[in-house]
Amino acid sequence: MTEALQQIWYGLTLAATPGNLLYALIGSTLGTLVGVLPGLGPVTTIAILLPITYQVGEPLGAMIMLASIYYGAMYGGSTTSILLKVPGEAASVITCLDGYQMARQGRAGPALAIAAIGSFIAGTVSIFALAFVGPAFANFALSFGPPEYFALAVFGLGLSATLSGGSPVRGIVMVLVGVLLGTVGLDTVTGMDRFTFGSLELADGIELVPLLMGMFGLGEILFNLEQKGGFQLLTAKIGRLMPSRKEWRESWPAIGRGSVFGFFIGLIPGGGAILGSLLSYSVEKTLSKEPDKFGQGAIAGVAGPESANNSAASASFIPLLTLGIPGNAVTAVLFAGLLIQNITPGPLMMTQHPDMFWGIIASMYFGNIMLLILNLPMVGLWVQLLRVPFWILGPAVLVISVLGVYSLRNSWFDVYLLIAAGLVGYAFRKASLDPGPLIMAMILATILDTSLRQSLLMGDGNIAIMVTRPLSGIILGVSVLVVAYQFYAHFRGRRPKILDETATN
Amino acid sequence: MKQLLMPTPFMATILVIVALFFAIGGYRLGLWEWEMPGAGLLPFGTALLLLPLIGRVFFERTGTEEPFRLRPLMAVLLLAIYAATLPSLGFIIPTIILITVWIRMLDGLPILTGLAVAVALALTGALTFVVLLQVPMPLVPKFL
Repeated sequence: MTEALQQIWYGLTLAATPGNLLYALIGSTLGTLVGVLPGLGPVTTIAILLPITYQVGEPLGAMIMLASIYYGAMYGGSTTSILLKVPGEAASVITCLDGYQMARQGRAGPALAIAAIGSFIAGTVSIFALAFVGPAFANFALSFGPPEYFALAVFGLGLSATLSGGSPVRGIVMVLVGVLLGTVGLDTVTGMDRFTFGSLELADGIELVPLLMGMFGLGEILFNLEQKGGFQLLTAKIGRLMPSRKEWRESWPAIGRGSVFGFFIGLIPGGGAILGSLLSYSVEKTLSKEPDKFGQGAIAGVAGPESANNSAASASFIPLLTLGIPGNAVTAVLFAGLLIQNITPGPLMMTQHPDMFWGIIASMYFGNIMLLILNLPMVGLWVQLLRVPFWILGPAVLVISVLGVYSLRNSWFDVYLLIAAGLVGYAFRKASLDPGPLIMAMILATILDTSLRQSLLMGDGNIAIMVTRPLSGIILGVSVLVVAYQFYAHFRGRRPKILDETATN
Repeated sequence: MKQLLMPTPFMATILVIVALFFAIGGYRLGLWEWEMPGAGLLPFGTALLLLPLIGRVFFERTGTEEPFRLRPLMAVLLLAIYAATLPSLGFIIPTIILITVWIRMLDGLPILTGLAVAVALALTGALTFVVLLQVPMPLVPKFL
């Protein structure tokens, strides 16, 4: 307990330097600014802004900025969910249900305020919980061998493929395609060239950042070119911002429960914010004295899921930083950000880079405070950004993407890759194929490949080693059960509608 | 044939080609060599798992699926020409031309509006990245 508090204090002293506070402020502002633009969700926002953090030069500052961009984009995404009914990501679909109805009833202010306050409280609770859970997770992970890593990677990919939204079959297809693309490059075990066509640019594998920016940023712009008439801004006037006493009473318990559910679900690799939001919404509806008001503008329907969403977002840093396993598309982008800074996340990160680990966690707290200050009094200003026409937005994203991608390696090849990935991202979007699991799988392909081969060597070529070791056997068993249940529920029409309807956001 | 050009069957066909490429390539790399798993084991195994699932996606109907539209494909063509000219012409001129044409052709706005936005975006981008962040992106044509 005392040690955890000391570590938090250590992190706070690192994050509270003027330079790092400035990076957190710039990140929060940029994240909100881009996240609030219609049609650009958190993944797209972070992917577009990723190269900017490369220019920071100092790893902790860069990661603080990136984490703040993430938070900012989440906050910005709530605004578009409530005012435009345009969810920035799958988890925000649930906020749309009651948030948009509240806005239609002239209660946009309280909806936005409770989303911001709920996110702040959940984020804060989650950050303190992280400081206690993180070291335990990392210590536990030190005892993992190749079969456990293989099982964890399969677990994370299985869950993200079937629970991130859309058809589970398509999710699994994207995961497998991601694994294939992840094997491109020099084989780390034998040193053989794999699928590189002799290209030096592909020797280290397909560069992640151009791929991310192309699929999420450019792909989104191309897809939006099809939308006629753009988005309908419901109201530019927010009116009264603070919730009434009755609304507060209805919101507090939902925020508390959402924070707890979100945290535990965020710890599961592949669990993701959507599950946390869904669970929170179902619980609030069940516990409510007026369940029929849900979907008609119930404030608990905004407070609970928004808190769960944010809490899960913070908790998802634990599998990322301690296991090296990104839990969702956003943390996959953050993983790419860490790699750019020459830091490989995993169980040794806490001992090898304690400054990074504790600095990032503590900076989230400052980021949350800044976002509350930025979002509540200035919500009217952000709403004006919703009016930016798409004919300016599209070319602006294009310019940032080209310059940003080029800045990473000063390579034209990466610019070509960006454009090709944009086309592929658009085609995926049209075919309801979510690129999120593909990116996660590309990152995890190296872990899968090396741990599979090392496990087979350990077991003298017998694959049974994966199931005879208790921990890996249990993890693989749970993975199979979860995935099989998702398939069963999908084909029987028993999945929550939201999971089947949300594909690529 | 028209049905094949719908996004899902089209992408499923592309993915089949990708899976076959990796399956054959993985097999050639070797599945088990020198008493140890070969470099091709994971790609080969993954591609084999993928093929039947793509078959399932091919026939899966989403109900709301719409065909590919011309505007995004025109945008991709513009982007391809843009990317090809960037190394020799530098950032400024191709970017101004691309955005002007983009706004005129794809958004149907007057050419002067497109030109104004294009100049503003290209100069802001160049100033931020090349001047402030010192990214060594060539701004003007090589021959200048």
